[in-house]
Amino acid sequence: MSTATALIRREWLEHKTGFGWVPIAVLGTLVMLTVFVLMLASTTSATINVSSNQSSNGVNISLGDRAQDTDVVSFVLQEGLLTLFDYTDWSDEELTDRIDKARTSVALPFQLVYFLVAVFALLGSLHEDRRDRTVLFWKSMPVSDSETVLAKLVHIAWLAPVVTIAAILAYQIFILLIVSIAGDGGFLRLWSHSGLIMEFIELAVGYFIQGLWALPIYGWLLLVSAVANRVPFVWAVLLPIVPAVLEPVLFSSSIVSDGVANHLRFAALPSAANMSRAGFEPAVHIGEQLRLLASTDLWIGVVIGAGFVAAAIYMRHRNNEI
Amino acid sequence: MSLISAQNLRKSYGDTAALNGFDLNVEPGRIVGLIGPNGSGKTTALKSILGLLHLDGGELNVLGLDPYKQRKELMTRTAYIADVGILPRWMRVDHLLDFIEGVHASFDRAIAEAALEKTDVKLNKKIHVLSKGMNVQLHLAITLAIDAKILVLDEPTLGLDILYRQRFYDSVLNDYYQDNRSILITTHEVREIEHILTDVVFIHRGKACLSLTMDDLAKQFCKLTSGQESAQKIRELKPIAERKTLQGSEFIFREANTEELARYGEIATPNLVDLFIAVIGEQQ
Repeated sequence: MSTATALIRREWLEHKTGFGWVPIAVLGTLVMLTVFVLMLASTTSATINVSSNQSSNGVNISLGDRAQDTDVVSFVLQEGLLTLFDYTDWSDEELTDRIDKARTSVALPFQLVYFLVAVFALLGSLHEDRRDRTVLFWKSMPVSDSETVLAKLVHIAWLAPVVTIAAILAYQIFILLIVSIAGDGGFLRLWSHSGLIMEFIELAVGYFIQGLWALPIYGWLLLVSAVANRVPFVWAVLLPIVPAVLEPVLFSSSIVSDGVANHLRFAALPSAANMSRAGFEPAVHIGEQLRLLASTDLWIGVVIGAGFVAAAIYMRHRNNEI
Repeated sequence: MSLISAQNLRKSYGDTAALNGFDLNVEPGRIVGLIGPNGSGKTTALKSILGLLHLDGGELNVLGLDPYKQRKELMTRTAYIADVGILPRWMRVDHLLDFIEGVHASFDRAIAEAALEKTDVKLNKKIHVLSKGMNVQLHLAITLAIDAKILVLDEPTLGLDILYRQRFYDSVLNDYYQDNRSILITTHEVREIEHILTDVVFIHRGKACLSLTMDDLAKQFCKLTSGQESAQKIRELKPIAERKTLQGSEFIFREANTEELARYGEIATPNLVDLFIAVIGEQQ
């Protein structure tokens, strides 16, 4: 085993609950909720009212009297599942588009959970071992501080999402199965338009680019983790607020807050960009993803992020137990 | 060549000087006790030797390396055990061994596993379920399996019962110690390590105030135990320290004429505790 492999494996062992079991638990919860909602819908007098009105691009579902279109779960079910039930009359393009929207929205809860786990893993990564003094053991190993910090970053940003990607695909396959069984409109037609293989590629590429896009955030969290002796979360959140508030007052511009919001939004919910609610360019499909790679915003972020990572390595070198 | 060579090390935290011109020289094959009261700079000295802190000044060379700048290279040939509990609690023993095997070129896993066979430490257990004693046994097993030139022990037996403490030092002596390797120990339990040391360094207020081999200690220092009646005459011979006991007084002399002293009472070699109190207690 090489040093790199040993370091990455160490990271995985430390975080396998957050990056391994948590997405599996999200998958289990969503599967159960889906089954529960479907059973409720079929056993009560509730009517599932699916209208594929293209002009409003909206779907109304009513379970009994309750209109459920507010929380994430119902949003997922709405976009992801129920729009697909009767696709007999849809054209191929329409079907592809529907499935596309569905798979994008079912990815959201997984992506959000992954991001939250990543934030806390990064905040703890160079802080916890200083607090419990195990840093003295890690530093008694022939591993440089840059190797340590980079292993943590690479693991969290680019390797740990693997289970999340697998869970997203599993849930999408589950939904396709449900629709195959309960839906109407042709089994083969559905699966041939499912785009699962492309989805896998796009999720993988998406997480690679997300890691680059999120680098200023991840680098910042690493730096705070290496510096803060207490409450790293509070420092990580409070410190960026100062320039974000002062900049509009002093310079009548909002580069910091826009940049932070922009990077935060896509880092937390890569697929949500598809909803284009804040005029943000979507980057769900391979073409859009590659276009994002060519954007100046992304590379400015990478440079800033690399600066934070370098500073985190420097502080890791200086700081030991608290 | 010295394994450790430190000259005039200085390190301050705010107004407090933790190291204030500290010197140390450790040759191969020595077992050096670094002894000092709380806050004397022991830990700071060890940390600088291990490359854990950035010194304000001085010359420090360990195995020919600058510890702070070249910690990675240094750690291929240096092992370190601190007071109990710096092993990662969330990790399983076998996973920890996997990790060390992966990153440490001079780690021989077979030696560590053989050492663990003699203990109650099971490979498939998480470290947080191990007792304090087992934790130290594990750390020792790992350390003995590293082909190191320098072993640094910082209060290694703190909080252990007497059986574990005895076994700990037995293992260090029998399984680690060789002619070309050196050991640097700090501990409050001076009596426990006295018989294994070859050298002793007293540190006080960030400075090495006495540094000599145990042989020289026996040559240079002597302890005179006498009754109260001759105390006044003995004081005229300028002892470096005096301590009242139940029977009379104990005096510590440096470079004294032992034949003359023998007239007043019993002459012996002072132990480290006597000397510690004489050298450092007098300065406080």
